[in-house]
Amino acid sequence: MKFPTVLFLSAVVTLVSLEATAPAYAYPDKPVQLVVGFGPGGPTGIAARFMQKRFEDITGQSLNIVNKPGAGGAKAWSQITKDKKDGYELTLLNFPHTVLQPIARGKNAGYTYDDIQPVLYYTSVPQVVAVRAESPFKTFEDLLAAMKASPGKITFGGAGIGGSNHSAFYKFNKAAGVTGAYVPFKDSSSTITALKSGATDAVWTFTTQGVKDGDSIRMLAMAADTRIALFPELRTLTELGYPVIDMAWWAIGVPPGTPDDIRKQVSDTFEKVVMNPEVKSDMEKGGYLPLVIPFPESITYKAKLGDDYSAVGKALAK
Amino acid sequence: MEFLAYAGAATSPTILAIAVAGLIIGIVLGALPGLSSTFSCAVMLPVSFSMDPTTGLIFLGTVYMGSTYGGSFAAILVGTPGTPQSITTTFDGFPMAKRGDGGLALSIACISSVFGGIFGIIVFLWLAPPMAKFALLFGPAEYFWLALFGLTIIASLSEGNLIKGLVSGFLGLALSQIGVSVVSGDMRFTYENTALIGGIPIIPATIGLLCMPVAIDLIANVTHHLEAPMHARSTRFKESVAAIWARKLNLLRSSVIGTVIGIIPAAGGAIASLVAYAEASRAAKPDDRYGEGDPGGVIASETANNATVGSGLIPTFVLGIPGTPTDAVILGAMMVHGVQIGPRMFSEHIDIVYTFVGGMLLATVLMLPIGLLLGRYIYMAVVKMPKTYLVPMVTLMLLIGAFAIQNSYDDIVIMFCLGVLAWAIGRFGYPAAPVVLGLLLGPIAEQGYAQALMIGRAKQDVGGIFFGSTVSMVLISCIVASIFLPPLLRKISTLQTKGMRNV
Repeated sequence: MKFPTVLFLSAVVTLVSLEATAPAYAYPDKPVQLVVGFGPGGPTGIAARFMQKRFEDITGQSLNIVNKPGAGGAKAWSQITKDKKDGYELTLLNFPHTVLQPIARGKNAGYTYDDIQPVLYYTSVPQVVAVRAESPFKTFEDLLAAMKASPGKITFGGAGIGGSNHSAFYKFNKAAGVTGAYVPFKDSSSTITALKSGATDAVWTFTTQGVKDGDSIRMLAMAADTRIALFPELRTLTELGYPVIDMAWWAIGVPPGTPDDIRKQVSDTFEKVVMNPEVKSDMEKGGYLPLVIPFPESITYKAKLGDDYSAVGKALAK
Repeated sequence: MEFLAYAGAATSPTILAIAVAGLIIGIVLGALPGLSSTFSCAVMLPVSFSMDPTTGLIFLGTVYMGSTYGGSFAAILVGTPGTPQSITTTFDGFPMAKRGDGGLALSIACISSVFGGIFGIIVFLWLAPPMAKFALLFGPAEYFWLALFGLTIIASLSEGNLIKGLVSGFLGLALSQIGVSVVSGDMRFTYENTALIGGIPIIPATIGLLCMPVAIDLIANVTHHLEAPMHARSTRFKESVAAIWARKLNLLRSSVIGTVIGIIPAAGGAIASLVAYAEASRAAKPDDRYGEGDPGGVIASETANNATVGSGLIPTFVLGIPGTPTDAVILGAMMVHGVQIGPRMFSEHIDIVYTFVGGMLLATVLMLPIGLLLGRYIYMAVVKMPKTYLVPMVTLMLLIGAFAIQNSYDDIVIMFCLGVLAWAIGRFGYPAAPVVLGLLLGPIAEQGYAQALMIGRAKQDVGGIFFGSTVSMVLISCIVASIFLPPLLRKISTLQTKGMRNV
């Protein structure tokens, strides 16, 4: 036998034996990449980092987060179909963004709702209407009275146009029969900066900002039906008489066409991570509500969110 | 003193070792073209998770400080800005290196960075809570005026050929329109190309516009890359100290500019070094040669960008508002570490604040010997390296820089297209730096304008929103001054020389 043949055969033998020693349940056996369509410091970026902190301890492999901010997340989501379907190239998905953007932007969105394939919903965050600490609006009733007294004059900041903050603004105004002026900002951080500077009267944002900004902003009401443990004093819009529920959901996504057994592996692995007591308590302290909707239930949940938000999406797109 | 008691904790061997490690990692990452401070900190986030909160913060802070300084190596020796903050360092640093003064330029950059860094940290230490209020003076209208002020710097940077500078600036503004509009949600100039929907990414664009032409020129010219230095083994430390001492006003002014701009949320080191550079060149004496290798340009740029590191932490820690884009990453890290920020941090967690500041101060002081030592070896390596090795190495680093930020091949294509464009327009005398400025400031100006207009319409007081605040009026005065002052001053000085001749 010539030397190259020996080399070739031994390579084949090594490969085969590697294949044999790597059973199907050994996911992950190499680092996992998670693409995030927002910067590292915002609500979405932080939602990803909570998992990264303990991922390696729990699974034995590292989680590489790649931040690709742009177009309200669409920059990352438009690339999903190009990813490998092997469970190692994942993308963090935001809802209702992924429902609303394709409706508003059509072909220009770069992706369709069918490309969005969540395998594990792992957290949600309710939206709140908030003012800065120095604001004359001490309570929700003050703000509502001002909106009624001067229609269209009260300004509300929010992250992006046609996103979740915009959706909450629209839904609440419709339910309460009031109008205001929505001013879109680049991200949650610049929304809050403008609020604190007094440029806008109020904001629609997430409870996570209530944790982050503690004393400097005052949350007036939450778009949910039950109060949360972190802010027991914060009233819900439902108990105030306006049944508006609006949140943001985060899920781990795979490229369309990924086989079911791989989806199950990804879902199971990340479920182990987010159910870890330390990850769970880190997230709760940050204002993120734990939630576990694994594969295959995630598919029906996605369809439900799509139905729930399509009417709002069409209204905002006008 | 209370501070010294807590800062003492920062002198523990573990923290000191971590601070030095962070500093060196930062310098190396920052020196690679395209690997910005924001990227360096984001990459090092997972490492900081394995430390306790205070140590992790010091680690990230030193990476940030190191990378802000590290950008000057590539800027001076190759003419490729390692980070957007060091774009203006290339203006005078690279010409200095070309004529054989690279070692001097590197030492000046090191000393200036250390001085600016310490200045920013000391302001943070003594004035954080009162200074934080300054960050709150900036609403959409003020951002609009600030961005316009930045754009008028094109005028002062391209003295001699104003029209060509402005054409380049407008090209940058036009490029900044690509992608989804933040305020209207419209998709602009993407032609259904998914690579463009997020807009032109700033880092690959900076590498393409400012670094690629340098690489092409390296290949196109037969001459040596850098003149061999006269004093082969010296960092010319004494000479650089003397050069800085002769420009102490510049040093101080640039520190103040860097500190003030660092506090303005999301403005950052790139804008700070630009403004400081423009002010330094405006205050130049007749025989100063800005843009042709004047040490003052390196001093202004490097002092200002490192001053933003400390001062940017003021709004970050006190208000939870990131002072620079990199501070957003540090803010995220604090949240994952479970550190509560805000005014309460200064009353309840003063131990964390003081230990952090102590660690940062020590690391910045250590940057002096580390930087000078690294500078000496890197300089000699670059000078001695034959072009046949230098060109492929630089090209490879540019490719890595463009790719690494977002693991995206599209970014390499964007870098390449803009690089060829910048090289081509450069042949006709159109500078590339204003294109980057337009790209950087266009979105800030546009969003600020649209948001201010929306708020003004809702309040039925558009004029009041745009012109009502003191900050707006100050910025408008700066804009007017930066447009009309340089030609006016030139006229006066020519009149004076004429008058003197007549006498």
